[in-house]
Amino acid sequence: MILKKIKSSLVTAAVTSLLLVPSATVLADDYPSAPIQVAVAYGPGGATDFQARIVTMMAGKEKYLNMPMVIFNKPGAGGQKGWNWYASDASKDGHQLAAYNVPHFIAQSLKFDTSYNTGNLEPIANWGADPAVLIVPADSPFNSATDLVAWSKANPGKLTVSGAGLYVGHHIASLQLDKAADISTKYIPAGGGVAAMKMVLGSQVMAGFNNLSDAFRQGDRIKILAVADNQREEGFLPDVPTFKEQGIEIDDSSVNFRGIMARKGTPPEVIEFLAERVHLMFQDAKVAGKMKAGGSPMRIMTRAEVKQMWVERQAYLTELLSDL
Amino acid sequence: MEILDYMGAIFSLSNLTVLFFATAAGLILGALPGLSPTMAVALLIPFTFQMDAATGLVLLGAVYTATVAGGAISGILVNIPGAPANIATVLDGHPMAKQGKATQALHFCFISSFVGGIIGVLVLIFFTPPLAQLALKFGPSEMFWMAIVGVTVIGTLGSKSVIKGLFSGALGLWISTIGISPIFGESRFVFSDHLTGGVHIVVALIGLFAVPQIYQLLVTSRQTSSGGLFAMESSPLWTSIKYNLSRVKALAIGTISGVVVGIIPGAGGQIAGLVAYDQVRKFSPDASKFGNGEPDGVIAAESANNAMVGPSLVPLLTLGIPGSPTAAVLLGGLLINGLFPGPDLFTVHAEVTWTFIGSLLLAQVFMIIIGLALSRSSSYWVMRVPSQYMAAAVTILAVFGTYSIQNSYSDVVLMLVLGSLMYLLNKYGFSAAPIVLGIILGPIAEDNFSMGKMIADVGDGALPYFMTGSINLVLIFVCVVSIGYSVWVEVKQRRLVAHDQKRSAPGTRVAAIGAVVAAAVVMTMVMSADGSQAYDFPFLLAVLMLAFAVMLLIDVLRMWTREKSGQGLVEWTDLGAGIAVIVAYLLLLQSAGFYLASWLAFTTIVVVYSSTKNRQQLTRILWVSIGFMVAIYALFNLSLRVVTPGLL
Repeated sequence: MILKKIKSSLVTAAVTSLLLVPSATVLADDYPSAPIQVAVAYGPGGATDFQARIVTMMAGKEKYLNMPMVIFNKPGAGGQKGWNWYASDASKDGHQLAAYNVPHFIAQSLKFDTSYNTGNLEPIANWGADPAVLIVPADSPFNSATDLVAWSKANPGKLTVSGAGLYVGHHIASLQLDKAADISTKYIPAGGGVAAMKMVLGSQVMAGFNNLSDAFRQGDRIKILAVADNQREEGFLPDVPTFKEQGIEIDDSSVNFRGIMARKGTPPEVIEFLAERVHLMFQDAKVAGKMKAGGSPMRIMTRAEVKQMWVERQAYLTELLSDL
Repeated sequence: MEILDYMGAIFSLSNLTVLFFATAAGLILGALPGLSPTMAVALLIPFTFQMDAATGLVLLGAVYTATVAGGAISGILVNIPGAPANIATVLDGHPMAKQGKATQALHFCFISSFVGGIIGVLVLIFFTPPLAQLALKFGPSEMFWMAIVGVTVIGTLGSKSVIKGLFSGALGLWISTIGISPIFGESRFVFSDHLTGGVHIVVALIGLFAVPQIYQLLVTSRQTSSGGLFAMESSPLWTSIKYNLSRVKALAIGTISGVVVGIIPGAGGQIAGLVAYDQVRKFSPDASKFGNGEPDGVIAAESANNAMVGPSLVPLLTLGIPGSPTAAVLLGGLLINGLFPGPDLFTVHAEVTWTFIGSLLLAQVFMIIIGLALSRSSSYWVMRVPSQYMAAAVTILAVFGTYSIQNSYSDVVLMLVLGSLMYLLNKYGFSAAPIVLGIILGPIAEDNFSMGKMIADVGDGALPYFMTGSINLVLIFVCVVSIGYSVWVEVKQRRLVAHDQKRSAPGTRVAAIGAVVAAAVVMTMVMSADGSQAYDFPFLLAVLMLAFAVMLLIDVLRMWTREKSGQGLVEWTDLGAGIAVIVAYLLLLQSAGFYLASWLAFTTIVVVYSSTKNRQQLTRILWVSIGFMVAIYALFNLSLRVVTPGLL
């Protein structure tokens, strides 16, 4: 008897609640009508999470979004779990956004069966760029990228290089190095940037690719041989040359770009609004101050610039990863 | 003693206020399933944006210390460890509570945490530079052996039979390989979409410990009319302190294990308690007391997991390499204040750094005072809650706790499914601790083995890489001793019982056959996958599972006809309604929203499992359920900002 009663009340409750779910289309005039959630596909405390929390902290100001942005983490499988969820289940009314990491999500969409790709996501704005740098232990005999390449040529296949994981910027940089210098290195995918750094500090590998910001913080415990970008990082490492300056043709394809994106199908007015205001928000003096204190290089880019960058990366990565 | 220069800052009123609230909040958060120290610290980082550097760090450090100790409260009282670090505490802590010694167990827990915690921070203060160098020496081969040392603990962990313990451990190791392999990029054993992200350790922890406890509570509420969990003896604090401090051996073993495990980056404090528990048991003249409410088990485990906190900050503060998952989150807290790990921390930023370290020491004092003050009232309070209310509350907390880890509905499904299977496994003599340990150690063992092999392949080869080097040799020696000791004890025990007097426990036959079937299923899955490198480790595990299952079967065959009756091993009649409600709850979660579904589930469980159902009783249930849901809303939505799907 009681069970029957419960059953009927459960069904009633389910039906009522379905009817009450607000309709998915929200008029852009009211936007944003509630706090905006930003999904981060990595765990709390990691670089992406940490930076996302800083750059969104001023969202509640009237001149920006007039509503707070709330970060929530959906980690798993190197970001795939969170982005899969975002591209297939998140709302399209602009109240659920996500943080992106290029080249990770593009490379993953090419190599794995994911529900996301550059076609079904809309960039809003870019806040940061963390180039990969080539590092070696402080007591390493290598003093330049050319030294390292020369040794690798003399000892084919013997050079071990650590990086944060598979198909992240560090892996891309290591593939580019192999190709540009015509050597074959042994890439060791450690479980995260910190683990990869530890292997270099402890001389368990001969070299590593790591984030410029993390390498910078290590000071003289390591040697930074080259920056995998088109220009030097003047703010943090003005004295470290790029690969190109050392005659190795590596461009900025491995640079880890971080920014905010929306789902395709979000009303164009909402996207335009976000593209304008989020871009402004990233330039807030307080945001810049916290980012600088944390040693996180900023690179603010507009929606149009990010769109262009995604297209270029997509084309380049398709070619680079096709041989793998 | 540079730290003495900063006493003024450490003992300032504002600092003491922060410490008090952070410690109290940490103890309570730590006691909730799912809110592990890592989560608690991560969730608090945004709050520190508005504070000055020292205050923010003191807050995070105090919460870290307090959550590690707080996880023991729920472990001892309800048999659900608040975090992986507290698993070992539960093994003897909950049996103590069942014997009416809940308050005493909590006393031991906080006193031992205090002793371990203080020594851990002192190690951090005095030995930072040499320890940092040692931490760096742990490469893939050393980490691999470290994980194997952990695996050797499995056999003796909380199971009545060593073989069942080993089988459970291998099963846990296999569960850890589900999902996308970080080294090979291959997705393994993903036969349901819910498994793409693998099985998160805290999800498994909640499922394997909390869900069997829910079922157990439901059965209890049907079979006893009064409904209380257990009686309670009065335990004067002074007696507890005297006894606890007299257990020098347990405290020493716990603290040393905690310090050693803490400085090894990546090993994580999660295994410190288990390693200490295993050691103290092996050094004990009467190992059989363990698992039945032996205070030494609680003392060793709790002194270890708090002793780990200080040393885990050594590699973090000097090299930016965190020694535990929580320390990794703490790194974010340092960076956001412009404090870069390294020598600068102790020179340029000396004031902030020493205030932080000094406050960690003081946090231990707050932790023991608040903890001891809470011991009596919390155990008295939990004891009075009728089982059906406790079951309903644990169900809702487990669901919210699980969801908040990764904002994932799949995790909730996994938690309930794993937990329900664990209830059955419990009935047949398998225990949760070795499975959880397997899930923790699996990735450490596999990833480091694979990375080590990659490095060795281009160097001198795997054999010299893994088998030479002083740290490797020491760890291998520890493994051999640990295994040898377990075997020796098992043989000695078997001799004690004359063969013809032995009768196997109820359900042994089913357990053995079930184990063989499970092992065969895993083996088939491994064999049917393409034979890529990514399946080397799962193949090894399948072989081990099969071997242990066959050993179990051989053991049973000798006594096939002499099994005690296993009638009514699983109380299906008492559980039917509860399982139905939980399944309905799971289905409603996404459509009806978390809060509405949880309220319905809470009310239904309590109504169905209450023996009296008069009007007065129903009104009371209504008010309690509403009050409980308001508390859950305030905690998860308002304080922790967990985003739940659905309307409410």
